[in-house]
Amino acid sequence: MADIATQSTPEPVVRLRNVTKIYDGQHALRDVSLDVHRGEFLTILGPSGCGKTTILRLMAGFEGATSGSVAIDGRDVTGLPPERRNVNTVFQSYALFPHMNVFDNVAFGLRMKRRPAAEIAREVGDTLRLVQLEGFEGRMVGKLSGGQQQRVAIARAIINRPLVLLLDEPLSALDYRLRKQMQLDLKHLQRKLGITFVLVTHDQEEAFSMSDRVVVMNNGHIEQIGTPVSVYEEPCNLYVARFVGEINIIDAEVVEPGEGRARVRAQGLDVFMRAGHAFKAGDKAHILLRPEDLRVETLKDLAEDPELEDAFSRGRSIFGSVEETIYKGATYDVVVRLDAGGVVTATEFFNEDDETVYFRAGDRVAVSWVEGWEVVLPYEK
Amino acid sequence: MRNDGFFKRAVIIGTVGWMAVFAFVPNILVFLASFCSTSSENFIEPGFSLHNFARLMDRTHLEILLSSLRLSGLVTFICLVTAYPFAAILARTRKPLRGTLLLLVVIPFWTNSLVRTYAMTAMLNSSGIVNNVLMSLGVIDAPLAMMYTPGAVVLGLVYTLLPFMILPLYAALERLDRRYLEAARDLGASPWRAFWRVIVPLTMPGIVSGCMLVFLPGIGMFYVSDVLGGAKAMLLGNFIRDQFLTTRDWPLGAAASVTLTVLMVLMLLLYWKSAARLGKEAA
Repeated sequence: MADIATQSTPEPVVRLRNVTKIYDGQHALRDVSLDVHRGEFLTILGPSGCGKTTILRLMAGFEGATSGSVAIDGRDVTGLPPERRNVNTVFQSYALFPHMNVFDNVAFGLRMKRRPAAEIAREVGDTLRLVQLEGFEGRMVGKLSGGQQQRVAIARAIINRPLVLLLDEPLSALDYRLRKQMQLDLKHLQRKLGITFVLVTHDQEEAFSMSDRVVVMNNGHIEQIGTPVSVYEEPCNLYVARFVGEINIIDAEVVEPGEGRARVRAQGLDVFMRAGHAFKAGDKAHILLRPEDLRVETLKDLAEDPELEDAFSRGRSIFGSVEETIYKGATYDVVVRLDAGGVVTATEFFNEDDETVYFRAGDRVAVSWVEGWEVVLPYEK
Repeated sequence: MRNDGFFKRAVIIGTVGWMAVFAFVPNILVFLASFCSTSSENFIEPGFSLHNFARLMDRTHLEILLSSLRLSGLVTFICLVTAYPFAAILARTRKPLRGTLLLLVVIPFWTNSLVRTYAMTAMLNSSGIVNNVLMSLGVIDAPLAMMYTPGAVVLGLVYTLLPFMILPLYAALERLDRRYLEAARDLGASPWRAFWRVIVPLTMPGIVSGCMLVFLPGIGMFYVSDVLGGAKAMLLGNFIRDQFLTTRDWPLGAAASVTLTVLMVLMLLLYWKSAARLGKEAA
């Protein structure tokens, strides 16, 4: 994977270089290099145990790297304790001090800096207004709802004006609706404050809706770094493709490699497809297609409607039989068993004009997609 | 199901009955006795006066009370500062080793504490282990007089009561979420300030219950004072025992007992109040 870091702005706010972390003989991180740009919203995305929280803890200073270096604001912070780093953390379970009220929790950081009481009172008031918790100063944190505790945790961190705000799965304890709202609030807050946010999550939807860049991690290393669009549309390998959303994978064989494209044979097709990787003739490959990019029509409809057939076959069609349809509310999934082996799922919108158009199990269908929307990757075991 | 009900009732009645006969009734008797007087014919002459409590307030008795409180306070303090770091380390130790360390804390309970107190004399007397070692090392020329000093009593009490401080502190520290400490450090607190601002307040219930479990017995454990402190009555417990067994002034002993009980109740109330406040905040 090409390292985005090498083409980044001159001075990243956080720079990890070849960081390896070993816990009890197990690699939590394996030679990870990552630059966090000033002012961006970066999300580290991956399943539990992939090392994403370890990266956050290394930045915060709760852990030291086994090897490699961490620099914040151009300065190596190896051995620097958390209290002397200009970053703050919003913890997964918030870790609000239960023996203090909202005011004392939020004021904690400024008190540690021994700021004058009047200034602290003013700052706490301003910060609580920012997170819409005015008037909650005297409440004990245990009496607050999850969403309110979350906002206290954010206020307690941002009042210190950190260079980077680290957020460790901050929304995982909230219910779906509140989580959606907080995603928006966090994004707006980040724009307003101009603070760099580094967020850790296992929820790809959350990562995509908030971030400027997404880092996809797996098993202690980085698989891909990029904008949400590039990660979703151009996954660099099967792991990333599968982790971010649904994906159809069709086995193929490269017949003739070319510049930025390759002639590929699969499912009775033998056509040129867009391909970023360098293939040799005879290489096995995967064709990756998102379900929402696939179109499905019955052979019967195509035979009856030459115009539709014309439009349809301008794409590339593969054939199969409908196995089942799954109702999803706004959309439905059509599961098609392909004639040449394999199964693909296509997501279809309901046709407002013709409600009778619905696929039945056993229907003979053609599956097609717009040329260039496929991703061709080297074969992986 | 019927058997279950019977068993449940039997256990409850048994326990309540036992407590009534052997704890509640004697305490009531002591309470009543504290208002009576004594005569040459009877240990207890029925009547009602606060005379005994007034006698407790005279100088010599007050001095015994105060010195006993002081001694027990010192013991509590030593136990607290010794047990806290130990409990903190214990709470962070990995599982198998932690079990072993906890076992070591508990093992002394397997021997009667009176026996253990006598065993201490073998260590502290002029031909005891401590003196022998120090003399053979050349640190001292003549044996130190350690027995029958307040120091020996303090040592004996600390030795006996230390586990009662360690266990509640361990429970509190083990329950403490490490993230609170991390949050404090993250927000700019040095380890020292994080300790005082976050860890101590959050483990206060453990600190209070440990202190009570040490301080209250520390006032009453007369046999430690008897064995290691000699004839001097250093603890309130010695004084009470003497009133019943030596001076035969039961009402005065009863009054001292009641005073001690009231002291305990007051401290329990204090503890409950602080625990309830902390619990409310933590909930």
